[in-house]
This record gives sequence, structure tokens and C-alpha cells, in this order.
Amino acid sequence: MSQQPPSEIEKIPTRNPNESLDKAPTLAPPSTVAAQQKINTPEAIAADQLYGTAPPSNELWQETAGGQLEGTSLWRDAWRRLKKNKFAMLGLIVTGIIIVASLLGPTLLRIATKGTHTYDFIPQQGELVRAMPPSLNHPMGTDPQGRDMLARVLYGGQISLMVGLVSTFVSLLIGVAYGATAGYLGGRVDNLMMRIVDVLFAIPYMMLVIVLLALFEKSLVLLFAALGAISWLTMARIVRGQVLSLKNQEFVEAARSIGVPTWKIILRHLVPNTLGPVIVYATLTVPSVMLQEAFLSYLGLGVQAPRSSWGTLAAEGAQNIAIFPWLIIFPGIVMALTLFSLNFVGDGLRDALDPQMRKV
Amino acid sequence: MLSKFRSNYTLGALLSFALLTQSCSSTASNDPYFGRVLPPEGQVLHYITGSEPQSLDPQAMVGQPETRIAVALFDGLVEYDEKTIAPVPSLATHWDVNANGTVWTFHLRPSAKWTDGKLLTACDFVYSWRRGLSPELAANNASMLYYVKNGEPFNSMSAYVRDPSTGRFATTDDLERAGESGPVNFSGTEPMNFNRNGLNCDTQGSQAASLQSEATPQHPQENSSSTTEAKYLFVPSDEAARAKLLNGDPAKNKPGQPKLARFIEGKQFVSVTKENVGVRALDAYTFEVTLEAPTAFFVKMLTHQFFRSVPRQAIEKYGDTLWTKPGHIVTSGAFKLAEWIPYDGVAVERNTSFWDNVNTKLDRIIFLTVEEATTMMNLYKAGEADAIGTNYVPAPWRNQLKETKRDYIYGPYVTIEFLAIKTTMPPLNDLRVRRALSMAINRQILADRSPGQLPLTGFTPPMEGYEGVKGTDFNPQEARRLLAEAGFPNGRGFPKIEILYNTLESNKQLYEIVQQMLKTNLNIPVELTNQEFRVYLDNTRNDRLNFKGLARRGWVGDYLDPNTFFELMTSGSTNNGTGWSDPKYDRMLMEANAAVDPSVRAAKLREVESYMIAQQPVIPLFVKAIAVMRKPYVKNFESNLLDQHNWRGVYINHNWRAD
Amino acid sequence: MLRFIIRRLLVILPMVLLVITIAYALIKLAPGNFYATERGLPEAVERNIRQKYGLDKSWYVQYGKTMWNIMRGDFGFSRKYQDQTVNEILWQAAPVSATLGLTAYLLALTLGLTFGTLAALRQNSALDYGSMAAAMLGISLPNFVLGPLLVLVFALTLFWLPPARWEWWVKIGSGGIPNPRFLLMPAVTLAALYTAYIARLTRSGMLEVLRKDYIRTARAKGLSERQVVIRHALRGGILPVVSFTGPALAFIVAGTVVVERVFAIPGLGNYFINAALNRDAPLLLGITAFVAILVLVFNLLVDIAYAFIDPRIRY
Repeated sequence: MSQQPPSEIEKIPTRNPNESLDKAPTLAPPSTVAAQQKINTPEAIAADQLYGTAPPSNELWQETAGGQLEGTSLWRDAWRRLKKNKFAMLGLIVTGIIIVASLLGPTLLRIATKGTHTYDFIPQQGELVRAMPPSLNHPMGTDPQGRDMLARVLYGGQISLMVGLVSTFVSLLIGVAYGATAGYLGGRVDNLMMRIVDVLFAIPYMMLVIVLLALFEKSLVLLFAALGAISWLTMARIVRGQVLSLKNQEFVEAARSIGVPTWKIILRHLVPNTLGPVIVYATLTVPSVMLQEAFLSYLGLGVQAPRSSWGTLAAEGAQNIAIFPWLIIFPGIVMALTLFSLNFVGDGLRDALDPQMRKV
Repeated sequence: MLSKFRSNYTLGALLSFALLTQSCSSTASNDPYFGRVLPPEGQVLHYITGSEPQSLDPQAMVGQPETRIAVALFDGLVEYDEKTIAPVPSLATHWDVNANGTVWTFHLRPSAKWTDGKLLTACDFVYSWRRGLSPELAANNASMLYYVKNGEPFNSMSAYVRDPSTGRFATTDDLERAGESGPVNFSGTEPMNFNRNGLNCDTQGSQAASLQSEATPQHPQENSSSTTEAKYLFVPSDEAARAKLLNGDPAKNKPGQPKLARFIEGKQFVSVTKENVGVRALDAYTFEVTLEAPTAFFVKMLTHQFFRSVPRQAIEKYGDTLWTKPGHIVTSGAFKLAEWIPYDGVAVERNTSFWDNVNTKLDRIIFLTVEEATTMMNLYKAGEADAIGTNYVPAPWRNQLKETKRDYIYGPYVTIEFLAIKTTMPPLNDLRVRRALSMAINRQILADRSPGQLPLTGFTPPMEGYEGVKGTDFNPQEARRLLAEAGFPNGRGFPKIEILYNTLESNKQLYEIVQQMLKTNLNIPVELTNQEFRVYLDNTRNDRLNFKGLARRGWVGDYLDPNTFFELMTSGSTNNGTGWSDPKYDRMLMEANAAVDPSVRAAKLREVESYMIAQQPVIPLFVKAIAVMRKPYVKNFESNLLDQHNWRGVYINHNWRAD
Repeated sequence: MLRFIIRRLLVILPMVLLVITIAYALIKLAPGNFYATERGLPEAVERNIRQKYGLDKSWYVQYGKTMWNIMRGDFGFSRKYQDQTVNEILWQAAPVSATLGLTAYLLALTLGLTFGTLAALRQNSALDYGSMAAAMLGISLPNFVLGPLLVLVFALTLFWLPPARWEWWVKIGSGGIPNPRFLLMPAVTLAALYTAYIARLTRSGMLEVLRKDYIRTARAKGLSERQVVIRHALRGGILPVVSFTGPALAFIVAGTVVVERVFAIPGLGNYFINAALNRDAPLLLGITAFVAILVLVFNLLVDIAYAFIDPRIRY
């Protein structure tokens, strides 16, 4: 990110909130000297790159082109730490498997069964058009229309994963940028920005979606717009809350006093310090967005029948929980598995990106 | 914002697994009944009627859940028979019809009273029916009273056209005669004022006083002149509306009517008033109705709550909306309002002053208002409810319940499910294509999804005294042939069409199957589109038809006569969703309804039905079935054709095991 | 601070009016109307209805009249529930939703803070993994699954609790003390998700704070672990939870559709969804105003709370 030569960066006092008299051995003291001393430990490099306060090591500098330098080393280092985190790796692998299965599974299944196990195939024999419990032929059973649940769950992953991950990422970007800006600038700007958020919170969301649907052609873009319209709001408030507290701390004031531009302070000093709650909240957003999609389907926006998503499958399954429990159990397990995995990845990512973590 | 499902989702696998075995056993157990059988103490019935009542005013309500409450609260001229749903005498002990079926005279029960002690008289009906038609009330159901003489002109705020020089009124014949020949003399005499020969019901407080007075009971034969009354010409009484009619309405793409404008120029406009509506009290206990045209099924409609009398004294005191509040409301039925907790329930209790109180068995009915079908089933299963209204048992459960439980009862329902075809859209304007679509659907599979449902190719469910016609049925070969003939061999080149339905789990399940049938048998691309109910209603209006191809429709008969279905396809109907209208069909239906002899009428109605079905503006799918849960101790509560109940006879048998 | 609070309070009324205006525009733009039924309406009937409710007037007359009445506190009669005024509905339903929502949120706050803090203090211990797995389960289990699941076990198998509905134990006005038998399952269902959110946010917030110097200083000064955690760590650590609480509390108090429908609870959430679905403008505007006030007030309280938690925060 930074185009500044190392020598200039060097002069910037650190960001570090734990700047103190305390000499905790594992934590890099903020002084330039200390940073230089510890330059060879990956943690220190990552930390300093993240905050943009310490010079990169020469090796790294040589390896990459100027502008890419920090990003590359930061991510590479984060990746190295992530690899050490067993839970995170497990989560990553499971997520990967689920994604691949969602993408390839439906096609493979269709070929293998000559088209009888797809998300939309309904048998034309009346006696097969009913919910059947799991069997060898239908390992997850069938739904009341006689469709193979395995195929529907796999197919449902496509839309749900896309919706969940993309919307969360977008809401993360908007929410963090918006919240950090409002919090840091404060005063009237903050007041105005936060009142806009309040208004968005309070307008009847359902009416908004109905109107959006009436005004625009139904499309994936509209779906994301409808999901994105609200999912970033709480994120923005959380980030703002953190920034309000952080911005008066010494490291920010120090940066300000030597004339670091506002956007840089926000981006490199404040945002990284809010990563903890942000990543946690982002992993919480994934399932809520997936569920929201099911609700939008109800209004005619989300996936349309006969296509499936995990959200709609679970909504259908919940209604029949007392009589056809397999309709909720299998989509539920797959979804829970995904969320657990994503959560481990999220935790791991946070640890990997967070220079202050003692234990990795 | 409440609508956000602010939760997330997935599933506690462990918990569910633990429950898997448990729940399977609980539904498939050998228990002959669904859930606990715990008779309530005393004669109290907990009945789940559906969502929260819109209103307790029988003339304002529209939905079925509240109509069941209205039937308990308000007595009708006739009441439902619990089994056959046919009209049985209630407030009217008997009635006469004149020879051509246009004048009906109801003889009321003198012992009937309102809950406030006032006598219930013919004047109450005169008041109620006029109120039902009044533009100020703007009742949704007002058109049900259009069968009554001048009901429509009064409701639509029309006016007679009067020639100030002669004092005579314009008729439709006059307008026709006028033609090119210039002005004509109006031939109509003074329009009928039904107040004149009957009891004057308008004078405040006169009812009781006049009960014995003026008692020169008129006999219907003496003043049936109204049937031969000329057909008056009506124009809007409101000047702006009239101008729109005469000069055309560019907004609605309606041309002007210069001929009519010339015809009525310089004439007076006399508004149709409530006195012109064909209802009157011949004496305190004789209520006479004059109809627009012979209407054989008229008395069958009268069980409907819209025709029940409302309390003038309370309405005038508290106003049109507030009179239904507990404490204000005055009713006439076997039960009176005890408590109303919005979104929880409406409790009614025995009305001891009811004329047939001795034969009323229940002391209290609690109409529970619940929205979610599964919640209803839970309340029933736990023994918190004794019966559930129809259509709430989730469709996929029904076959299983039928096989294992004795308290699941089902039977025919006067409700049909069909697809409306947008006949104005190519290639669906081609009859061959419409028939091909119809022949591609295996109705048996659709019907079999719920016990008691019947495949349907005509447009009427089975009804006593009428046997419906058969239309095109499942025949994939013929369907493909027709489609090829229309220019789409093996579905090639067929444009993408959609099936539009209102969001509902059961609709989705049903039309997913239909979509597959069309795809499999005709190889044509069909999309499913679901819309939230209000949007769907708006898009299926005849003046909009904003969908590509097919729209799902269901129709619950209002009364037990084929007319309730055939009316749907007349040109005047705003909501058949097909864009199809045929003046010949309208005429045929009118003629059939005028036939007094039931067998002649039935034969004519069959012609009407086959005429329409032959053109296939709709694809009939199946006749729905009643699906009701009822604990074994609830007696005299049947699954009848309309799922309406005569609450007076229902009772709790605490000794039910002995039966 | 006082000036700040007054300024923010003053802004509430115009903000609510703005939200109402947006909601009004939305309901006017949405297709469909409140009176249509599957039975097609004759033109005359439709005209009568439109006249009766003033829909034949131009939009600014309608809007002006609506806003004028609202500013006088009168939302008028509901269109769908024709016998009830919007104010009556709010008066009846708000206490139910608020009671349920507050109970659930308090439950969530207690459990979430406790387990979140413990998990942070014993990071990577069995307790940490256990409570975080439980939290994930709470998040993974949507309330429309958890609700029916609880009902299946406690109401339909064990028959301990009623499967649905609501009852006031002691009735005061339109609210009172709820009957715990009816309150328990919906409150737990509603609380599950929030507990999970709070627990996870607390844990991450605490982890961050526990590393900070002032905590180490506090420990070094010899303060007991309890004091360190409660006096110092929790303060900074719950900042994200406080931020989350503002909007969350507003919505939970205004009623949640899913739980109210699953348990047939006569709360505002049910009315809100039906108002939107039925284009019931007066009711929708009434509830929207209520929600807007809650959002604005709770977010104000959150902003005030920030200042107490972290004295460095200035407005």
C-alpha cells in the first residue's frame, strides 16, 4: 500500500496500543530500535507491515515490486501462520470440499443416475411423488415431490455459498469503511452518517424489497442489492464504536501529529485494530445472509422454485420437522458444517492477521 | 424490519438426530388419534379458525376465518345444515317465491330478539341489505346483492334520467329507439319506491310501534308489477364520472359515447336511492325481496354471512367501525361475544335469549386465531385445541394422517384449483396450444397428493343436482400432436412461459410438479414465478394480466350452486386472470339462471360449462378436499362442502369412548 | 454531554417523520392494494372503496392528511383489521413483544457475557471450545428450527409446556407479568441466536483487551483476577457488544416475526409483517414509527454508554 521509502516510514512512531513501560517479552516494544532488532521474526514483520510503521526486511523488499510489497508479505505471513493453525486448516479444507461438492456434485450425480437425481427431477409415477426416508438410492431421502434430497442439498450450496460469502464480503467492506470514517471524523459528520444508518435500520425492509421487485427486473444483482442494503448496518455501528474508542489513543494521535493523512490513519492504524470484532461479526453474517435469502425467496426475489438453496430447504424442512425430519436434518448438517468451518477459518484468519496475538 | 429473519440458520445436528427416532415414532405410532385426547371440562370448544379476524361486522369481513365467527354470532334468514350445507329455516320459518322466481317473501320468526332485547324484525333486514349496498360502507362483497332489484345502480351511485318537461324516465329501449331519428319521448314511469307499499322502516324508533299498526300485510302477488317494470337507463350520478363516461377516459383507454351524450343532454338526473332497492318489510315479520331477474339459486346464497342482519341500533350509536367492539356489539345468533383478544382468539358464549337456545349445546366456543399451520397442528396435538378448520393440515402430511389417524377427516370441498391462461398472449391465443397444455398434465398425480381430491377437467366440483362436464384430459401423445400442429414440433421454438403463483408452500409444491409435467410431456420451457399475494392479485387482474403465460387460481364456492364458478368467467368479472370474455357465454349463463325448473336449468348450465371449457381459457386441475382435524369427542361437527358450521348443534361428548 | 443528549433528542422527531415518509412512499409504490381479494371487484365497488379511504385524491393531499394526523398522534384505523385503530393495536401488542424481547435479551446478555468472558480468560481450553461450539450451534440453528424443535420435545413429547400462545399472569393495563410457562420456550428460542452473537463478540473483545497494558498493570498492582476482569477488562471488552445491542435491542423489543408466528404470540412482529403484506398503510406507518423511535433511542443510549465505558470518547 505504501509508496514511501522505508526511511520515512521508520520515523513514524508506532501504532501500538500496548505501548507502555511494560516490557512484555513477546510483544514488540514500539520503538524503532526494537522493530529493527526483531526484524527477522515473521510476527514482527507482519505486525509492522500491517500497521505500516516499520521498514520491511530487505529480503522481502527485493522479492516484490514496490507497491505490492506490504500486501504480499502480509498475506504470505498470515498464510504461514494460518497453516500452523490446525483448526483453521481443517475448516479451510472442509469449506473447500463443500464448495467443490456444490459445484461438481449436482452434475456428477446427474450423470451417474441418468438424470433421476437432480434438484428438479420429479418422477412421473404418482407413487414416487412423496417424501421418502433415507435409503441406499436416496441417501438423504426425498422431499414431498419425490426429488432426491442429496441433489437438492448439493445444488442449494451453490447459491447459498455464493450469497453468503459475497454478501458478507461486501457488507464487510462497506460497513468497515463507513463505520471507521464516521467514527474517526466524529462530530457532525459522524452524526449525519449514523442517522442515515438509523433511518436504514428503521424503514420497513419488506416493503423496500417489494418495491425493488416491482421497479426492477428480478436478477442476481437485485438480490445482492437487497441483501446488501442492510447487512452492513450493524457492522458499521460496531466498527464506529471501536474507532471512537481507539482514535483518542496515543498511537493515533502520534500519527496525526506528524501529518499522516486521514485516510491512511483510518486504513492503517484504526481498521487493523478493529479486526477482531469485525471478523467475528463477519462470520456471524454469513449464516444470517443465507437465511435472509430464504426470506427473499418468499417475496419472489431469492432463488425461484424448483431451484433450491440451503435457506429455502431449511425453511421447508422446519415445517415438516415433526413428520419428515430428514428434510431438515441433512441440509442442517451440511450448513452447520459449513458454518463451523468458516468460523474456524475466521478465527484463524483473525489470529493470523493480528500482530498482537501471543499464541498462534 | 421485523420481517428480517434476524437469525441464522442451520441445524443442530446432534439435537435433531436425537429427535429423529423420537419424532418418527410419535407420528407413526399406533395411537389412533393425533396427539392427546383430553376432552375439555363442560361444553367448551376450542376451534382454530385461522388468522386474525379482519372485522366482526358480517358485511365488512371477507376472509373465511372470520365468517365462521359471524355464523356463530349472527342469525340468518336461513342457516347451514351441518352435513349438506343446504339452507335450513332459521330466522325465516318459511318463504314463498312468485311464479317467475323474482319475488321472494320470507316469513320471520316473531320470537327472535337481539341480545339487547330488541325484537328482530323485517325492518332489520331492510336496513341491513341497504347498508350492504350503500356506497358509503363500500363493502367488498356488495356485488353479492346485485341480484336484488336496483342493487347495482344504488351501489354504483347511478342516476335515472328524467325528462323535466314530461316527468317521464329514460329506458334502455328509448336510447335504442333514439338512434339516428333524433330526440324521442321517454317512456319510463316513476321508478319503484319500495318504501311506499311497505312498512316505513326509516322512522327512528317506529319499529316497535308499527309492529301491529298499518298491518295490512301485502301479498307478493299484488305488487309484483316491479318485474314488468321497464329497464331504466342508468348513468353515473356524479358529474365528473358522467363526463368520463360520455367523453371517454384516455387513462383507461375508453372511448366516449357521443350518442349517449346527445341523448341525455338537458335532462335531469335523479339519483338511485336506497328506497329504490328491491327490499321491503310488508309487515314486521314479512320481508320481501324483489330480484333483478329470475334467480333460482337465490335462497342458497342466503346462508352467507353477508346476508345476515346487522343491528341498526348499535351501528347508529357507535358508527360503522366501532360497533363491533366488545361492549358495543349487539348480535342475534346462538352465541354472543364474550372476549376478543387480537391475535389470540375470539371467545363467544351461549346467548340465553336466543330463540333456539334449548337446542344449542355448547356454552362457549373459543375461536383461536393462529397463522402458522404447523403451530395449529402443535396446539391440536398437545390437546390445546379440539378442532382445526380446513386446509391447514400441511398437504404432505395428509396421506400419512389418513392412513394412521382416525381424527383426520376429509371429504369433498366446493373448491377448484386451476390455471388461468393468458389467452391474449401468443402462442396461447391458439386453442390447439391451450388444449395441448391441458393434455400434458396428469391430474391424477396432482389429485392423489391429498386424500379426497378429485381430478378435474370441467369447471365445477361435484354438487347435488348438477353433474359437471368433462374437458380435455391427460393425453401426452395427442398433446404433442396438437403442439406440433400449432407449429412447435417437440416444443421447438416455443417461447418461455411462466406459471405465476402466490407464495405458499403448497402452491410451490404443486406447481413444481405441473412444471415438470409440461417439460417432460411437451418439452417446453416453463418458469415458476412466485409473488407475494397482493402483488399476485394485482398482476392477475383482467385489466393488467401482467404475467407471461399461466397463473394459478383457486376458487372457493360461496354457495352451493354452479353459478358461483361460472360467474367467474363472465365479461363483468374483473379477476378471472385469462383475458377471455365472450358475450355469448354471458348470455347463455343469464338464460340458464333464469330457468325456474331445476332440471332445465341444470341442462342449460351444462351447455354453458361445455361451451367455456371447449375454448379452454383455463386448465382445470383438481377439486380440493376438506382436510379437518377433529378430536373424537367433538360431535355433530362434520367435514362439509364449505367448511362452514352450524355451531348450534356441535357438542362435546365426554363419554366418547363409549360410542 | 448534556448538550449532546439534548441535540440528539431534538433530532428524533424529524427523523421519525422522515422514516414515516419513506415508508409511505414505499407503500404507495408497491404494487397491490389492501382491498383486493381473489373475488374480482366490480368497478363500482372498487370506486366506492377508493372514495371511502380517500385514495381518489391526489398523492400530496393524501400524504399531507396522513402526516397531519400522525403529527397529532392519530394513525387512524387499520385497513386490514378494520375494527381496530393503530394506536389500539400498538397499545395491545407492544407490551407482549417488549416483554418477550427484553426477557430474551437479558437472558442472552447474561449467558453471552458469562460464557464469552470465561472463554476469553481460558482461551483454547475445553471451556473455550465448548462454549464457542455451543455458540456456533446457536447461530447455526435458525429460530424457525429451534422453536419447533423445543416444541417437539417439551410440548408434544414431555407435555411440560404449552406449545404456543401467550398469557398474562397478572395483567396491568395492556401488559403485566407474563405467565412463565408460555414465556419460556419463545424466550429461549429468541435468546439462542443473541446469546451466540454476544458470546462471540465478548470473547473477541475480551481477548483484545486482556493483552493490553493497563490490564497487565492492574494485575501487576495485585488486584484480584475478579476485579481485573470486571472493573477493567470487561469495560473495554464489551464495546462491540454494546454497539451490537443498540439495533438488536430495538428489533427484539419491537417483536420478531418468526418466533411470534411459531408460538402464536400476539405481538407486534406479526402485525408488522401482515401490515406490509396487506398494504395496510396506517398500521405499517404506526409500527414503523415505533421501530424508528426505538432505533433512535437505543442508539442514543449506546452512544451515551460508550462515554461511560471509555471516558476518552468525546462527542
